[in-house]
Amino acid sequence: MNRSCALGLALWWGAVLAAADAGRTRELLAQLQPDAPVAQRARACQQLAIVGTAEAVPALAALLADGQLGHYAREALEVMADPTADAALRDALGRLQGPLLVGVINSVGARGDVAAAGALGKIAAGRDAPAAAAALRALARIGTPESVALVRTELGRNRDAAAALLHAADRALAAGRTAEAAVWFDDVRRSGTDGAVKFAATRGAILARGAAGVPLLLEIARAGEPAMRKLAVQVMRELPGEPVTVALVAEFERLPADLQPMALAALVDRGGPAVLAVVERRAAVGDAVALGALGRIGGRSSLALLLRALPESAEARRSLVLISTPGADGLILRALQEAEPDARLKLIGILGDRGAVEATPELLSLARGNNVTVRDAALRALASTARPGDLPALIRLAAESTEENVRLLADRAIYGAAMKILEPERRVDPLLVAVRNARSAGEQGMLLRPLGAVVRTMGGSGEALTLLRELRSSAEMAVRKEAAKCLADWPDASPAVDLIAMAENEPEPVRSVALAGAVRLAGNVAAGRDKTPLDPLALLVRANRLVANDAERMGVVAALGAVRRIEALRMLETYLTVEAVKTEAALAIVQIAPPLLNGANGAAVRIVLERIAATERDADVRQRAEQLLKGAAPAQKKAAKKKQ
Amino acid sequence: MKRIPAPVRPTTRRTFLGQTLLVGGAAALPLIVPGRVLGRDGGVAPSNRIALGGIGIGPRGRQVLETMLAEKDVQYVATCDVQAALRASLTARAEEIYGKGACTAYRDFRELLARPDVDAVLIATGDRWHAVASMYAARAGKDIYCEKPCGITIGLCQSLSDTIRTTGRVFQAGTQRRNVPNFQFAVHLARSGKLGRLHTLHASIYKLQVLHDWLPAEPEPDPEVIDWNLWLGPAPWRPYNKAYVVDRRWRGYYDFDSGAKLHDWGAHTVDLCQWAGDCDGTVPVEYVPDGGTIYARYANGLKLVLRPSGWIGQPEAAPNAANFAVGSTGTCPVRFEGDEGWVETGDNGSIELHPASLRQEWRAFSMRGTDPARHTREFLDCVKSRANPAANHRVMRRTHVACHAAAIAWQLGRPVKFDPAAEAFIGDDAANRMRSRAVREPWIV
Repeated sequence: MNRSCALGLALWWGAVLAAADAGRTRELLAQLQPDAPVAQRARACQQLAIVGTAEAVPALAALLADGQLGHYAREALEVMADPTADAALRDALGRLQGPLLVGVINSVGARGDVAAAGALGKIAAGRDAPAAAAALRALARIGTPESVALVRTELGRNRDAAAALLHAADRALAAGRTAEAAVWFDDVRRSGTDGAVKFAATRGAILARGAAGVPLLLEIARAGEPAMRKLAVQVMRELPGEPVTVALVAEFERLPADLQPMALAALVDRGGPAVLAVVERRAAVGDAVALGALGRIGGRSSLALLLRALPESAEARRSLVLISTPGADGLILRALQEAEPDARLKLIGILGDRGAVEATPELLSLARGNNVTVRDAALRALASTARPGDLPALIRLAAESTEENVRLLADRAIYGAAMKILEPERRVDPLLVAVRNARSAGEQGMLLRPLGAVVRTMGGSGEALTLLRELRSSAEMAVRKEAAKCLADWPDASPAVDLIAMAENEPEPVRSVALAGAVRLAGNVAAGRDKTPLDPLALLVRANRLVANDAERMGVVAALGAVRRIEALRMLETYLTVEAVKTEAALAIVQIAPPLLNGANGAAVRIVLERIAATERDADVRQRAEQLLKGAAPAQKKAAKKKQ
Repeated sequence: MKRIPAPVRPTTRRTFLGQTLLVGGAAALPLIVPGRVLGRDGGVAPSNRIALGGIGIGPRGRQVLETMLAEKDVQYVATCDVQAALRASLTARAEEIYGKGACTAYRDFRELLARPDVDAVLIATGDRWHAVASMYAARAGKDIYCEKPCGITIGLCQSLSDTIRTTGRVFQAGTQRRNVPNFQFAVHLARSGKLGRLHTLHASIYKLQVLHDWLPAEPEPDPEVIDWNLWLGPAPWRPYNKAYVVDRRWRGYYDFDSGAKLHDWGAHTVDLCQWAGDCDGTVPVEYVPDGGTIYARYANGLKLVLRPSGWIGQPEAAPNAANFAVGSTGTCPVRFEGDEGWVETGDNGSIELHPASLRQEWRAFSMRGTDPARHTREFLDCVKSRANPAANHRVMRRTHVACHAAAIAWQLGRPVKFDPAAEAFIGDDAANRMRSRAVREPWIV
């Protein structure tokens, strides 16, 4: 397609669109008739705002004096490019009063109508304070030298003029007209205004001057007024350029002492080599802010400083964790190897928090030592630093210990190392091998704890389940108990039948662990949280025969509360006389009753509900039973609130 | 921080003038002040506390406010609402913490802003008020934490950003996921090159909707109970109906909500995409609506997809699927894709990613949720240090402009092109007209 064809097509398409807008405008104008409902007229204005042509301007202008629709008319006029919209709004400046006038002034300002400056200037100098304030702001938004001159004329006469001029000055600064902006900011500062406007003008006056604003910045930093001094700190961050940084660093020590911590933080945010020098100088004398900042901006030279300050400074510790300079892990490790016993704990913790892989051999060595505190700290750190290749050493360490505390900490380290295996489905493999090759039943049982934790994050493991099923027949009670624990916490109901069988055949403590697990897994299936193929009722019937205390009864009752079958209701009914669980049983019944009421056993269900309605102590449960009997669905709990 | 004056009694318009005259000298009054107010319980002395005011604190505002009330260096001294019931509820909550008379109630936020002792405000009104109230607060010298969406048009977001720039106030938009670890981690993967060259960012959004009807007119209540005119504020006039106010049924309405509801999630998720793509200084240049999805593209070719569905693990017919996006990673999911990997995460904190080795980067598996506590704490720290918070006005501006541009494309039902520097649509008069709407008198932008 050649250029003239394309131009022709564009012109044709433009004409089509214009014709469509003209047609739509006429339709909307018809809806603006005075006898039309006000909602329709309002909506027509809003649609005219999007597609209306100049043809709509007179009708919209006529609405500007309408208390309800005037704003809707402005919605349209304010965004229409046609100059007749300007003329209509200018005309309204002379005939409206009160809030409607303020609205039109706003619209004129939003459009930046230069031709309205004269009229706005008269309003700005008038006695109608809200209109004058709006006019001053509109003049500032128009932003021409002439309109801003009108604002400056009002400085000292009208308090709103300072805020308006501030607006104009900031726009000039944003547009790169820094000299003009500086003059206007200074005008505001000298106008006698105070508070927020004065602070903002001072800030603008510094920013507009660039590096030449540093003396003013330092002047307010040394002033007595706390708010001004904080403003100085803010501007320290905002004023750009390395020369500014150098100038501020040079003056840093001469700033008021109580301002220096904030100023130092601001310098750290600026960054750069000049800042590091002053930060290190301050850190050397124990400045907390400086020590804390070295974690962000420190270099190799900062490490010695931080290590020296470590005994006394929490900030130094934090920085040693965060500092990212190359070789930091090695230097901190060397410091650990040379440290006095008292300093070791902190350094071990730092290496752990850094996840310093190269520290693992040293940490393993310390974990085998005799100093209990150091040993425990090293084990904690290993949870971060150890990698999959360290698993044999960690397992050996745990197996060799007879102390429960060591084994628990070792569990975490083993878990942490296993979780770093890249392929999620392989994370359990080293632990499976270790369990099979365990040298003792105690070691085998100990390894089942981290194995269970890893399996839970994996969402289950067929190989692990096979192994645990084998271990159900271990000769050692401790192994069977740990296996039952693993199975009881299984992420789905795959081992539910294994668990109920264990509960039926094992003595305590395995019995109770297995029973609780079986009930939990059946409850999940009954509630629909777990899709494993399983008949939860059949399992809960078996569990119900085994319950030996109120806690176990409560577990069964709660799980039955999701089984919508008459057999479940019959089982629950027997608990309505058991003091410890009768309210829970009644609640479970009202939960499962609705679909049963209309079935073959409806009459029997009604009898049970009548009993609950007559005897239950909990008013909410009683009421839900009554509602069911009346045929109404019981009130459901409100859905969880939407997060924001 | 300024000294916190002794509060007196709930304020009415009539007593306001006299009361403001008392503020400066009230410290001399003999009052019984709880020990913690004096900093004797290891807390923070009044001179170092941030005197906080709340404007329009409903259910969401209450969640955010509670995170601030939990901070020892905050004292909630003033609350404002157009509903008497909420005024009473908030003052009672403050009195639980600080003692009788600790918090003054206002119906008109301008009265609250006139108090020189208030350092900062939490603005959690409906969307229609966010930008205008924030601008008034900034001009009054207050630092601002403003719930998102911060402006219901591009024009208001621009004006708000400009006003914050002019006044130099600390501003934090309520897009708290910038300070939530699993989202930070996902962004870290994207920005650090761990996903390779980024090519597509995905942001979850609500099912888009615009309502224009008016609920049936009802008699206006006593303004002391519900001030309907102030509730409307800068939004167009329409007759009163209790449901707008009490049931908060204003969502989705063109006059009250932001961009066809796109901002409800998009203000968060597009914000995270902007951050992940290192696009905080720009916005996409093209927006193509297709059903409920909007395909956008940045000038560098990076794609941004705003969609309500298709998230990992998203139920086919979950009850809320028609309303907002939710997947196996929770509500508000985002996904970042590069040529070497991808990551998807959401509000329940879980992270789906590829390749699995990327998980090595993540140590804190347990950190999750949408708790705004870290975000509000960052705001409070910045009020003191005068540093710039994560969701500052510039970040807010770009994110919100991108969301509005996408919503306008969807409302027009056609592709639009956008100039990020001019913040204007290219060659599309209707789209450009939709960038702004006049505010109702007597409010000034």
